This record gives sequence, C-alpha cells and structure tokens, in this order.
Amino acid sequence: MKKTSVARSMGGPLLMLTILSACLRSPQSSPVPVGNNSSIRFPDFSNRRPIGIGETDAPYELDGVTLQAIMIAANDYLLPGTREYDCQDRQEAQLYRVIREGDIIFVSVSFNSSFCKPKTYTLDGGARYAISTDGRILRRLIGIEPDGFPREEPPGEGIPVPKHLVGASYEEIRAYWQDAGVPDAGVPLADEGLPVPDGGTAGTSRDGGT
Amino acid sequence: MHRCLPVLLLLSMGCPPPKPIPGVVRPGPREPFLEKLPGPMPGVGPFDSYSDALMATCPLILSKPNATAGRVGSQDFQLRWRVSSEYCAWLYYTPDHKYEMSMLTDQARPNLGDRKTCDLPPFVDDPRYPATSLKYIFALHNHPFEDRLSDKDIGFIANMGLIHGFETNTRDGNVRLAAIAFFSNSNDFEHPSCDGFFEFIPATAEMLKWTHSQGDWGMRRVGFVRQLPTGGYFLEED
Repeated sequence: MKKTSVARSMGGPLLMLTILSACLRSPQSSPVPVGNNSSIRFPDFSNRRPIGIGETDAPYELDGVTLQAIMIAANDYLLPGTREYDCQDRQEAQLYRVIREGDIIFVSVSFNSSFCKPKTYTLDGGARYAISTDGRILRRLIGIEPDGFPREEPPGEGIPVPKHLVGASYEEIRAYWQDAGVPDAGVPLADEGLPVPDGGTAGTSRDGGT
Repeated sequence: MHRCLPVLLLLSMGCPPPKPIPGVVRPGPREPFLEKLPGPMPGVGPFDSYSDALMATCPLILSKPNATAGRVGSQDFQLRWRVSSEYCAWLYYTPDHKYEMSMLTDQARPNLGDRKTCDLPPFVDDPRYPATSLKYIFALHNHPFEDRLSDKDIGFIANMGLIHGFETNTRDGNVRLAAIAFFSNSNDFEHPSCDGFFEFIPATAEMLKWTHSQGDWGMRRVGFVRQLPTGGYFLEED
C-alpha cells in the first residue's frame, strides 16, 4: 500500500526514469566499496596550476596514504585486467591530480591526451574521488557529475553579441564593438542597458546583419 | 496492485535494448566504436554560417532523450542526471561553402556505470564529397547541466587540431576549430530551451561562456586554458 502511494506520488514519467536508471550500463565491480557521502564538497582541480613531477630537479616526496589513495582511485577507474578497447583504457594513460584537505585525499583521474592517440576520443570522461586516509572511497563523481554545491561564477554580465557573431572569438567581438564606436563593450552598464552599435540600448538592433 | 502491474511486468522482462533515436547512430551490440560519423544530418542545414548552425543545432541536440538534467539542485536533478546522456557530432564545412552537421552519436565506454561521456569519432563520412575536402569546424556536444568544458574536452579538441588543423580557410575568412558544449537550465525536458554553451578555441586558448535569453546572446570569457609539461590542462580564470 505504501509502495503504491509512493509510486503514485512520484508520477508516471519520474517512475519510468527510476526504472530506466536501473537499466543503465552495469558498473564494473570496484575492488573497494564506493561510498556516497553527498556532504563532501570537491575542490576544483582545474582552476589552479598543478605541480607536475619532473618539472624541477627537486625530489618529490609522497606519503603512503596519498600513494594508497591514488592506487585506489586508479584501480577503481580502470580495474587491471579489464578489456582494453584502445590505449586510453590503461592506467598509465591517465593523469592523476591530488588535493589533500585534512583527512580526505581528493584524486582526479583523467585521460592524458598527450600519452597516445586513441581510435576515438571520449568527451567528458574521467572521475574524481574523495578517499579517506584509511583507504575508503567516501564519494566518487564520474565524468562531469556535479557534487551538488553551486559553483561560484565570477561577476559580470558579459558582452552582448549580435547573432552573426555567435561562436566567434572574444577578440572578434571586441573588434566589432570597437568598430561600432563602443570600445568598452563587455563592461556592464549599471542603469543604461547594454551597449549596441548605434548607441541605443539592447533590444533595438541586436541581429547585426547576416 | 494493478497500478504496479506494468512496472512489475517491465521489470520482469529485464532491461530493454536501447531504442533507436532519430538522428543518432551507434554501433551494434558487440561491434567496435564508430570511427567515422555519417553526414549530413537529414533535415538539418546546410547553413550559410557557423553562427546559424550553432543556433539551430543547440536546441536540436538538447531535445534528444535525456540530454538535459535541468539545473543543479532542482527537484529530481539527481535522478535525471543518472539517466542523462551526452550526444556528440561534428559541424563541418563543405566544398560548396556550406556548414553541415553530421549525424549524432551517443556511443560511450562502459567502464564505469553511469559515466556521462560521448566518444566522438575523429572523422565524418559524407558520401557527396571526398574525405579530404571536408573541413572540421566545431565538435558539438551537450552537457546535461551548465558546466564548463572538461579537461577531456580540451584534450580532445587539441588533438583534433593536430589532425584537422586549428584554423580553416572559408569563403568568409578563417574559422577556428572549437569544442562546444550546449546546456539548458530548463525543467521542460521535452522541449528544453537552449540557454547557451561553453566554447574552447585551442588556437587562442580561450574558454568562452555564451548565454542565450529571450532571443539575445551574450558572451563572457571564462579564461585561458594552459597546458602543463605533463600533458594536463588548467584554466587561468579572467
């Protein structure tokens, strides 16, 4: 009875989604249980310059728990002995980034596209792990899966763009506005609307030609 | 009990094979990945400009089944994320000076369970033209939510630049190769709005965010992507 009311309250489409979600590709079995602690917020692995091994002559020292975390992530992401389609399915073809925050070691695994030339290229692959110092996977995010916390986007509205320049480079668009006599396009105007080539306001001539 | 019958029946039948999706090609069971994508997409294009093509292909790709999971944190996002899919295709330039979209694919590696990826073949096969006459402009795909291009997207398009060139000479001037990730923040999953896209242009190292609202387009430079000696990438935000 309870299940029926749950099903009813979920609604048809959502229920179908639930069923379908059980029909997704079955995951490979991980050698380590994968937790799902949704309170763990992942650091951004891409917005700071990582330090690469070999960049300097100085030796790099890695403590055992960090090495253990990298090994756990590597073996979960690509279990040794699983079928290899091409060169990107190897552990040595990945890049591993590590950020330690207290007792949690965050590991990012992503294909190193300079390692080899695969037959096809995977968009949005990779995985991120939160691993405890005692070797448990506390949380795993696959591909671009969000951690549920909002990303802090920098302020600024950006530059209004005529339709014929959608997809063009930043410099092309700046040049367009400069030619139109609006050299500071891109700086949001507080109360005057967005700049347009004829000096009017946004919404009057945004299609800008072909 | 009778209300649950269709569900129980469905479950007892096991999980069905993936249904064909119009405009989407994928390898058959136990077949290797497609290494070329057929083109053009029937009923789409040709386009006179890449801008026209982007504005047309954005809603088209986002309207494919489960192409968007909505806004992060919205109701049912986690469930919709779990069933979401990525689709990818090429936008290419033909000897007839037109822009064409290839067929889409959603082929993906099964290594980890619900990995949201798309394996985009490096080449397009358009039987109307010699293979070497096609010029590759944009690698198109969707992100199921608003998110920047990933390191894999960046690595992919950088490698494609080495194969196809980072700039293409067209009748209207030079066009730079780029990776595009469309997104929608809509909760209308049947007809999601095209709310914008992220673009990475390897020739300039720029990552741009494009937004689309009420017919108007805007753009902000997110930053510059830098490559490390190890082969990885990081973003220097503006």
